Amino acid sequence: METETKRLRTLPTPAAAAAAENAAVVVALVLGNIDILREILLLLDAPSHLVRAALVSKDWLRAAADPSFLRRFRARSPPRLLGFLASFASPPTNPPVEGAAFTRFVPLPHPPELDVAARLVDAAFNGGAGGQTKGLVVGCRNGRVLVKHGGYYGKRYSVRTPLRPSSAVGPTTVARPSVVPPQRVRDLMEPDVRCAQLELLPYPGVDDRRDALSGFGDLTNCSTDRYDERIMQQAVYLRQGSGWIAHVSPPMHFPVPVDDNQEPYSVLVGGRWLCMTTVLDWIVVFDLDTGDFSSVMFPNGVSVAPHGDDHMLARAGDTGIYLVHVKGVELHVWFREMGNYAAVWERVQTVDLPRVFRGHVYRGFWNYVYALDSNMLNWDLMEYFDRAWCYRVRIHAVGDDAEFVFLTLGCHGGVFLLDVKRRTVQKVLQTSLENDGGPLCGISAFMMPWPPVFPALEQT
Amino acid sequence: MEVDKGKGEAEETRKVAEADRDTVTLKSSDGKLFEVSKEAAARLSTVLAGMIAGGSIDDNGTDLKQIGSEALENVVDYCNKHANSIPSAALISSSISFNTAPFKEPEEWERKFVDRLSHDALFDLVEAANFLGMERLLDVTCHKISEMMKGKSPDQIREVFNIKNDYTKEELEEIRQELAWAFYDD
Repeated sequence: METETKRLRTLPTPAAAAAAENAAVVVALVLGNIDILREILLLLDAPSHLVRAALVSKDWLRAAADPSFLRRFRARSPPRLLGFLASFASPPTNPPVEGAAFTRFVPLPHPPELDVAARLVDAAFNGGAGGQTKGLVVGCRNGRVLVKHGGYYGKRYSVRTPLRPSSAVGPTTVARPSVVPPQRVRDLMEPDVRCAQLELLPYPGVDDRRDALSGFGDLTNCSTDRYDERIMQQAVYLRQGSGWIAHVSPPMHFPVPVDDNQEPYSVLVGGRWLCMTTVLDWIVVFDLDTGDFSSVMFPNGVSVAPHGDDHMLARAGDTGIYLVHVKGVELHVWFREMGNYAAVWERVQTVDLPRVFRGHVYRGFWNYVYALDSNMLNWDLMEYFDRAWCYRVRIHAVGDDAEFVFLTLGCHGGVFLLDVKRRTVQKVLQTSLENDGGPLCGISAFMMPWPPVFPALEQT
Repeated sequence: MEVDKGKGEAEETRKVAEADRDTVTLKSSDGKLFEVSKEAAARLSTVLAGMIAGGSIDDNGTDLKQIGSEALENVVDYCNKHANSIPSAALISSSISFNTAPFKEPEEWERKFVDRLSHDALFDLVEAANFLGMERLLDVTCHKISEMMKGKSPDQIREVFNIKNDYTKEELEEIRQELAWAFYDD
């Protein structure tokens, strides 16, 4: 290649023609050098620029689709938070009533190259005209959204892919496992032990379980005399093909009575460890590789609120977990390694909420939050709950690696997005009981998917 | 900058100077001579560093047969500008491997330096930087080329860089369907 350049340079052709030809050759040489091409593509920064460049030629596609290149690209240009899906529904009641739930997509400020993505999600959930969609969003991962229909105790899920509107795989509707479990599963459930149910849906046709979506199902209560608050069972229904495979834990014994979490949350770490906050102050872990259940106690001294919305879990890469917890006027981020029984919790972040929320909320608010937290035991319960309702900080969603947290303050305040690393806060939504169709009951962050899935083209 | 070799200079003086001259002379494929700071050349180019260390620098002009005078002039210009600019902490680590070091955004003068280059001169310079193992210059020039691609449609990129489309219509359509979010209304 080098010699060809040189030869062309010395050919006795008219100067202008030679120069033009030479220029074309040099461009071809430079862009034909896979190492240089990769560096150029790496610096494109935005995934949408990369995808467009991949359509230039098959050589470019090969360079862009190379897994180690994609890892480098991601490290330099991590996927962005496009917006969030906010669900509104009446609170669950007992016995459950099928209530209507609505979901709306709220875009966040983004660079122009994400306009199309924001428009697609808006069209899918808001009808492109500020409307909303029926259903409760219970999870969102890599561009796929898990919607539960018919309220908290709805019997159907659908998986939606708003960024692929013309995809052949349309919204997939999945019937939830029956409330009355089949005989084999019922045999595994102890009659005197309550059993929590979780459904895990790996994305159809995708081997990588890391992107599986999960939603909590019903909690089987029991009211016999032999009911023991220290024991519970966990059932995990794993979607396979068109059916469900049930994994039921043996009765798990806790050293102290444990309360059910009214807003349980689950994350799947590394496609292997399914971590569930089924009961307060504990994480129930299901290892998908071994089929074993275990439990991990929250960090020493961390006790979460009875309503369960002052904490949430987040993935820490593929091997660890973060517990994000609002303690009084501070937000704490705890880290723990997975798959290591000897691992200990370590507090890695402490965010002073009144400081980061300065200008967003009146200072007196934090005085009440502080008083509630420090005097909790001296108040009578009714008074506590009354005030806790008005002066509480709720966590609605946490990003991977605990990079951001969606919070609400008080009962009908706005939704705030906290950037944990930068310690900045922005108000991203003002809720309104009249317009939303119910109180806010859930937020799912909509991250741009990664990596871009290039169709496998036939080699020619 | 072209150097007029001082023919009248005494042989003696030259020999003494050779060992600790603070510049090296480079010769382009078309025979033009350029002088560049030895320190900057050694710091910015792994190939020149190797030549300097190995004593294969020719005082009458080290032959760089692969590099034309226009590109070499830009290389030398870059090295000299670099020698004059106060190196930021970010740039000192330029000896770290091209493939693993995190990219540092071009500094203001580097931006100006590549912005004034013509399309052809830019690509010639990438070739030269690649040949001479000049990681930082390669970064800065590659960055400029990627800037030229941003916001363009595949068709526009092909046109600017004169690249042949080897996709079928169906293949293009398939990718567009799958990754619809990446495409503006083009």
